[in-house]
Amino acid sequence: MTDLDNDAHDARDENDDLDGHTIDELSDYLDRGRTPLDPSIEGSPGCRIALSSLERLRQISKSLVEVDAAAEAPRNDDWLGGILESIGREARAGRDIPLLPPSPRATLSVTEGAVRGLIRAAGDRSGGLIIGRCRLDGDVTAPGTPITVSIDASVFWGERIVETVDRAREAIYSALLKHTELTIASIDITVHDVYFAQVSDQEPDDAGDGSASNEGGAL
Amino acid sequence: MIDETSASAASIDDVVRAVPGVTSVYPQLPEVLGLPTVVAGLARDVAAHLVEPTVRIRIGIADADASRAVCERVHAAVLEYLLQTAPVGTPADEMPKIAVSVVAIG
Repeated sequence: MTDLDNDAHDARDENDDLDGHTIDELSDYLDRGRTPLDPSIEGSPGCRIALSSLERLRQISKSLVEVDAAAEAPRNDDWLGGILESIGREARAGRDIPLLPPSPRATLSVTEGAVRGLIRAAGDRSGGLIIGRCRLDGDVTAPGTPITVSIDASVFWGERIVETVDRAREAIYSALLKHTELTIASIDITVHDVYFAQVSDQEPDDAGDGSASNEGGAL
Repeated sequence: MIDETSASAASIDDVVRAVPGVTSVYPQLPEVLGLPTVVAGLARDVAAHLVEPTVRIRIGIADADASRAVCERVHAAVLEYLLQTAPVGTPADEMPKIAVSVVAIG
């Protein structure tokens, strides 16, 4: 499947796998404190994955807004919009990733959507970056096939990119080892943005790697 | 633990919900689509005639335990329940297949 095919497939399935809901609706639902409880949202794994991602992103973006205000710097909403778009697209169930069954009359699996959610959570929690787009390249349905995990990320200003990415890669690899039986060939993390996110008394380290990819919003 | 769970459970969903590590049990497609129970039942009957009878379970799990470990627990609990509720003397190979899918983690 080509990237073009993948993108077309992504776009076609984006709302299907949120069971008819959109990211905007889910965002409004979070604004209302998930009340009244909406069974069609709470009963949808895709929506639940997207809600988890949105909640994490809100925590992070809240601090970004505060910092932006303090720094009186313009905020780049495209950056946030891109991540929101990825969350909606990647919450879809996708392919079934098999686990070794305990008997011939059983099949065990993890959905691709659950694994993408897992990768996003592990990366975000490793600190210093936010996962944007995440893709599993290779036939995940065939055990033993080498799989490449391709991730786009934004790193916060002041973080050393190499160390931050290494930390995220390790966290993601651990999570994948724990929850899947995929043969991970590589975890490729591409940093597309550096975002001003932390107020610090110290000047950012000029010798750090951040300057190399300084294309983020509010620097 | 599985014995206690299975003995008192009213349905497969109850059995699955009681398995440690399971945080959610998601409905299958007819319920997701909001079809009436009767129609959903018919849809399931038709599907059972087209393919080998399979109990399909979709679960959300906590991050604490490995997916495989939780899936195996769910499989064991459901198999136990099916064996207890099947007519006496039903051969094991006539039991439905069990498919467990993790659809959300954490």
